[in-house]
Amino acid sequence: MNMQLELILSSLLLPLVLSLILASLTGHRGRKGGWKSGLGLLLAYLPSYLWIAGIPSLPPARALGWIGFIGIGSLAVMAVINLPKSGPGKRLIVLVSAFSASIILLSLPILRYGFSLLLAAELAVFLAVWVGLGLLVLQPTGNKSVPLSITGAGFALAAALGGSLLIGQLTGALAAALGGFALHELISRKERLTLNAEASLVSVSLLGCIVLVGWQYAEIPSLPLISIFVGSVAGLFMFKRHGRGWRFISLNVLAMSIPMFFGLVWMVMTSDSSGYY
Amino acid sequence: MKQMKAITVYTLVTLLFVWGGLSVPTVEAETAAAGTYKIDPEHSFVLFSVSHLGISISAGRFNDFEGNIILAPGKNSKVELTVKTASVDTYIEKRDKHLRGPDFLDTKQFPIMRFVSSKVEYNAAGEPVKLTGELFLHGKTNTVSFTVKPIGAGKDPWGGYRAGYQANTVIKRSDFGMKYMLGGVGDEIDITLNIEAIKQ
Repeated sequence: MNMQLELILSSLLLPLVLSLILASLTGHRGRKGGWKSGLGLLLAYLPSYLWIAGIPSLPPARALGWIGFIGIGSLAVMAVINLPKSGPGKRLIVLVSAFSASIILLSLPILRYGFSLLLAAELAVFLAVWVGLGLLVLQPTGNKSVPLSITGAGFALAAALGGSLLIGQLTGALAAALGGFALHELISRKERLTLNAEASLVSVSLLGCIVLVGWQYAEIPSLPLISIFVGSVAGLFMFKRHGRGWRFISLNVLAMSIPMFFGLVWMVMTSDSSGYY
Repeated sequence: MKQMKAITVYTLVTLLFVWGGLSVPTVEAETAAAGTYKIDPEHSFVLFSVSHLGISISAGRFNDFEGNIILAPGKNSKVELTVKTASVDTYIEKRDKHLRGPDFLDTKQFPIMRFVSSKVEYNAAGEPVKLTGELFLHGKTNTVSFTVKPIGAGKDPWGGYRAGYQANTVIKRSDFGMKYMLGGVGDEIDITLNIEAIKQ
């Protein structure tokens, strides 16, 4: 198959089409039954992930191989968080535990060959950021799919420019899967049909895994990642307001894209000027 | 008279240098003596080449490696070579970074590639001609065989003894779990080892 066609199919069309179908089947407002949309998002993403990264061995031989398993594990995290009497303290404990375990699994090779206090500090900061993003998407109100989709697209660009087309493809496929949910919500006549807050946790889990692998193994620079994260947080706050309509969405997308834009421009201007790629 | 003297001195000095140059021992093409050798990384090269888009051949090398050779025809010969994958060098840093990343070598996860021979075959003259062994690369181990061409052996100007070989093989990177972008970067990788080793 032609390489470019394969890239478009695996990273864009497949996850987008699957997510449009699954969003119509599983999209649900409110907390009850929200796990369905989380499962739908995962099922929309996993085929692309397996196509791009390959079927992992058991146990996975590479850090990338853990991403699918962590995504499946996030459904369990979602279920625990969704239990009755699940307060903010319990959510924090669950997120810290789950994301810490994920970081350790993904970083094992680096920890084995090159452990240092600096690395531990970097991973601790990453954990804090990841948990913070998780707590943010667990807020019950607001659209999550649009800002998370834009965030995924930003990370995909940063990864592709930063030296890993593979990571770029994986993030792009996640952005496309989220985009399908976002598109379905925008064109659906049902009000407040959102990617459920707990279900958004699945996307944050996957996104965090891919970004961590890109940052640690592909050495994608930190500054653009930070700028994209800032844009993501801004987007999640802006989309908490219950506006609808293309004007509302366009303005908020534009606003959250500004920090991302600066990060990506910095990356382009400081990168190797050779003609490679 | 002065001119004759100058010409004589000039001729004598020239003959002196020529004689001295001819006296420097050169490495003769001879069968390397049996023994243990240490690979000299400053005079050895680990090279590879691979198809790019099916249009041209891209090439590169690894700059950081070490190894040992035990030459013992009829007995337990052994060749070991350890290469640090992060030392990949294709003359363009951006491409080298791409090669070091998860798309290809994933050097942070797999910092070493290593070849250990299980069999060394010799010809009638006692020269190694084929090398078979296990290649550990990208977390996977496969059996590979190198064809070996002896280049030369003999004393060096510093009192040591050296032997040189060229070894070639072709591997498929997909056999070692590197399956990304097979349409753009070829699956088959030509590996050439130009080795100079110092007898211990």
